[in-house]
Amino acid sequence: MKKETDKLEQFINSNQSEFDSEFKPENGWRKLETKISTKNRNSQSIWMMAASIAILLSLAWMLYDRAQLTDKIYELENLSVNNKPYTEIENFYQQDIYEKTVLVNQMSVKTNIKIDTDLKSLNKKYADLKTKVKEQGGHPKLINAMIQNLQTQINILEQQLRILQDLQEFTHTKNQENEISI
Amino acid sequence: MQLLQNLGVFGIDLKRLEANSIHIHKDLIISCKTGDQKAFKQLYMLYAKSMFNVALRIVKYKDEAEDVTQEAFIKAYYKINQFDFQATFGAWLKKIVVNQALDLLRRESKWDMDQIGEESISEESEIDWEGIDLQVDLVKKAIRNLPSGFRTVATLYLFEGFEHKEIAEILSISVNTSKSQFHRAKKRIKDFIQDYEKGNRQTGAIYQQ
Repeated sequence: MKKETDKLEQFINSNQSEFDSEFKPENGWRKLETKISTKNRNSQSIWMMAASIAILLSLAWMLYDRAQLTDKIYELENLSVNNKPYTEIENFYQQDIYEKTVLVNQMSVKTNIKIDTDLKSLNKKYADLKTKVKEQGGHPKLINAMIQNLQTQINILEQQLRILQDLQEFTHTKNQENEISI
Repeated sequence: MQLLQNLGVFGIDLKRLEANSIHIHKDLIISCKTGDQKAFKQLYMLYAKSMFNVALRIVKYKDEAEDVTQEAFIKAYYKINQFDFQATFGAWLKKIVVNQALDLLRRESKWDMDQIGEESISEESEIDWEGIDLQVDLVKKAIRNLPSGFRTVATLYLFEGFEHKEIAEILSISVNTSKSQFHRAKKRIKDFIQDYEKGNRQTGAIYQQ
């Protein structure tokens, strides 16, 4: 709250505009405008720079990652165990698995016994191992695990085949016995 | 009847004009908040002269006052989003100008605030302006002649309408210091005018001889 004013305060209050000096805002604006727009441009270009650096970095990372991946795939193709390319070993086992699966299936039809030849969990593990090799490279332990997996599949199929053969023989002799008894 | 109708129309127009002028300002500020430079130019054209004079009364020199005004408007441009319509735009801008002007004085070591003089002002120490002929040019000269501390307190109170409490906040001094600085500033203004007139009389007397 302003208290009562003295002569000086009253004088200034009633003549305030006369105390003002001239000022040309047009000139001031011209100077100001350049400062505002350059500052604007600066901040814009800084953002643009930051954005392009980010894009470049992510692009470089993508390319690097891709290169690494193709390297690893290539590595998988070039893998060799005991001087044999891994692809050849894999082909050999998978051919064996395929043939044995067909045999087991035929036998199961013949003997009328249903057998699950779909080795789902082993196949899934094999695929997992394969992606691990792609990601981490062909460590001997991984390759061993892969070969063991394929061998296990073959073992299972062979056991199935043996059981089916046993069963077939059993029913065969039983039939013969029956025939004899007749 | 015709006259009354005319008056009625005129009254409505005036009201609309008044409402518009407030809205134009608000719209301008809102446009500025979205980075509209044209709107900011309009605000500059409206306020630059008065802000230049606020600065000039504190820093004394024209080129310095121009710099202060420019710096203050640049600050206002980048801080406009902080303006929340609590005060008038002019008052908000004025605070920026004052702070910018004080920054310049401190930077150039032109700031001299006499911290002594917290003595309370007694009633009888009211300044007697009897027989003092106040003229705009002379009062201007007297204020310009004050040390920067006195000058700032005096102009903030006399011209910018700040209360002692606000001045104390801006200058980081006590309310009493602001009051006593103001009182002493007025005393100096009076002395300056008296001396000036005395000097004039003397030179006048010399010429008469």
